[in-house]
Amino acid sequence: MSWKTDAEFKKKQGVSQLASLREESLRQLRTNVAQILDAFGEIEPKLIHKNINRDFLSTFDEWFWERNQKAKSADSEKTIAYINRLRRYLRIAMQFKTPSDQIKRDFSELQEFYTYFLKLIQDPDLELDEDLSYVQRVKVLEKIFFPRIGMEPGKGPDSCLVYLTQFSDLFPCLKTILTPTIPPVIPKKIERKLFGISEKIVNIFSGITLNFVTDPQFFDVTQHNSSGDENWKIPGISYKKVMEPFLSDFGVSELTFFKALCGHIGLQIAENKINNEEYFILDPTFVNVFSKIGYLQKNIQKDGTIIWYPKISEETLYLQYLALVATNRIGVQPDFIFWICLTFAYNLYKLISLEFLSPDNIFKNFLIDDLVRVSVLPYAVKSIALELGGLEWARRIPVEVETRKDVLSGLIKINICNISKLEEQYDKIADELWSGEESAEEDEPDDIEDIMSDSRFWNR
Amino acid sequence: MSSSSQLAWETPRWRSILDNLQKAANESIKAINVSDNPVSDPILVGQTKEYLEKSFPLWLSQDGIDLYHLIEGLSRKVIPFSDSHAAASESIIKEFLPLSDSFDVDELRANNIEFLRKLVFCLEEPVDTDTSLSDDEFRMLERLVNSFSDRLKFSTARNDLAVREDLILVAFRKQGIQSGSIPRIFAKVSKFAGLTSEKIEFYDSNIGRKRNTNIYKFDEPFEILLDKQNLIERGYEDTQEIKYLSSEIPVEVLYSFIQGWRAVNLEPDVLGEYLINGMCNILAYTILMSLPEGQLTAGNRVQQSSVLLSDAVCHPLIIALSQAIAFVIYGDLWYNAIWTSPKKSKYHRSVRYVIVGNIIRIEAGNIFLNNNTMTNYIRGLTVRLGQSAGGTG
Repeated sequence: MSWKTDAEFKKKQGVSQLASLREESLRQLRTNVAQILDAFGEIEPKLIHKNINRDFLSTFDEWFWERNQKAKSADSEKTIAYINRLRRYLRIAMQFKTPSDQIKRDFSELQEFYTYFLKLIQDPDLELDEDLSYVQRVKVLEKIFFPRIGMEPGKGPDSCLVYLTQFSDLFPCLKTILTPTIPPVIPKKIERKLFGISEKIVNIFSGITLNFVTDPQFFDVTQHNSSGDENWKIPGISYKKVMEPFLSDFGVSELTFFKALCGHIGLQIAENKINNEEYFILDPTFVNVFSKIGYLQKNIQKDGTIIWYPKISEETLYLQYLALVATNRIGVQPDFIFWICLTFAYNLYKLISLEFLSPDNIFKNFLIDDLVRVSVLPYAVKSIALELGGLEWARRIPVEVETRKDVLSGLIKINICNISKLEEQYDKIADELWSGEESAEEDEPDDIEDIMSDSRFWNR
Repeated sequence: MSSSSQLAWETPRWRSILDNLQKAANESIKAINVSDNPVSDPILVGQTKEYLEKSFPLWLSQDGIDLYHLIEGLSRKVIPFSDSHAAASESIIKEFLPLSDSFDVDELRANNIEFLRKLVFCLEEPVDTDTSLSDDEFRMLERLVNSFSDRLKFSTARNDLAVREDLILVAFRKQGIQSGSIPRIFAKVSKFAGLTSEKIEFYDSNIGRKRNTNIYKFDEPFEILLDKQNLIERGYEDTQEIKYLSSEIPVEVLYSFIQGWRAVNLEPDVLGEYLINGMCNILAYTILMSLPEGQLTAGNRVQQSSVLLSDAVCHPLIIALSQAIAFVIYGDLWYNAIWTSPKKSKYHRSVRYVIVGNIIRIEAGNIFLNNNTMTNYIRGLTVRLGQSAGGTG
């Protein structure tokens, strides 16, 4: 067998594996959504042609508890549990004195949504009713949260960062991706792995950002250019001031990870032997990118030295790390992979539901009810991992969904994402994808000179 | 307290606090003069300096009655006057999480939840004490509380709202978590959510004899409180009436329970100095950032000078303000608990980082005040005072 056919064989094998894995990952999800639909189907005949009031609720309760006695198998028990949750929202609607017609309308809206969702995952590649398919929807979200731009040849995290800054008003959503609610356990050998950010590092990031705004100091750096040497003054902050409250809680490996993280996002840790002080100083090689996206402002003094004023925002450090993670997908640690895909699943689920549910729908919280989300979101994770990171990610993802349920409750807890803003961006990109303008998209090629002058290019 | 007839703002302690505040303001003015941050806006710096020189001393004049009332009104939102844990939790819920008919995601509500979260976790005690609550322990509390929505965790012999400890532990064991210290943690954290435990004897069919375990159940006032939030469900099981949680308790309600527990256990011996310092610091930063007039920008946002948050400028003010707040909340007992030594100053500094994204937002090197119940209260008050001053003068 020649090398060529061998490679072809491997490619084909990969494709078939991909297809079978996708089928496998979506199977349980289909079953669960169908069970939810069963619950709708049982309630529907009770609701139609009836005036929904307190009397209705009591007869409905009677029917429910009778039905509860009959439930024997595990499957029907699950259906009854969904019916029970729907019953709760009916009761709340009664308390808010919602008119009968609206309850019926809201109910049918919710039913339509789940029917459509089931169709979507039946065939992930099928374009339904001239709308995007499941896979395409994941791709659209990927363009917002986790762009592939950095992985293209000749580009890197820097171009990814430049791309991501256009979504900086979605900062809460982007931050959610990076901060898993269960902090990562960092092993002894970190082996260039990328982990999620713990609450402690979130606080340190805030400290760094705040100190750049309130107490920046400036350090002299000589920059060698093709046109000659330039004197730069680059901002930095005191290491001790930021880190002092946190140093006693750091484990050794965690601190190693943090220092590596700082290096990745353009913060050097420098020591001054005379004062015996340490500083966070901006890495001069990052200056070009930062000035391009407005994080640094150029000020030329009379004597020709250039002072870079920091115009840092809250999201700056997070966007940098996100750009790094989106580019180096192979280095992401398994638990973090699960979290990333889970946030994707959650946002996708919410976005599709927005198309069907009116904003004052009384069953709106049924979507993220603890029982419902547990049976939908974790099962969608693997299929999303396949789209984002291919086989590599799908194989490494932690399999036991049961053990991951507590991760999920945290997702709802910290998700303060502004969903309407996300919807705007989502619609914009979806329209582009649908009208096929992506090929006509004007891609501005990076100036080759820019790349060549970047010293990190030569250090690779 | 020397005599009951003496008002709090007439005591010598309050006078010395006011003196300290004036001294701190002078120190801050000196620090502003020295600071050479080229990035900060010179107009805003001038405004801040003028504020500290002219407007701030006005708050301290006339025995500082206005300041006293401002602090009292603000602190009663997070530490309400009440005699029971449940009542305190309820008033915090009313203040921070108003029930609205619309199901929309409310930005103010999200900001309020974030403030509560930071308040509950701002200074984590490094030593494991009876009142500290680490991240892990909070997650345990969440699990314990949410097991009330699972009928399987209930004791079959009882029909009230109670879960059996050994049945919860089974779930942990299944997940491979070492369960050795879990009962100890449950015993410690259950009080924050208004749970009481009770020892019972039951027949274990697995080992074929009777054994002991704990059951946890909500106090009666908490049951009523949860019922008001539409969280308790009643039903029938084999013609027996049963009660259970219809869905898991939202995390913000849990924060309110924890803060409510702190509001009724104010003794420094119980709370610990870390919590007292953390709470007072966060309130002090709220006052410091929202009291100056600032600059109104587009979209009705308030921009504050970055020099006000500079370490040298804000640090003396924060300690003095924290002392004032502590005194207003619980008199000399809390006043003495506020750290002033330079060695402990690192904890005050760490709270400065916590307020980013909570009380303030940073955008392109500018500092904006964030909207939440606490900052809105102070802004509303100062605007009203300004109007009344303008009316008379």
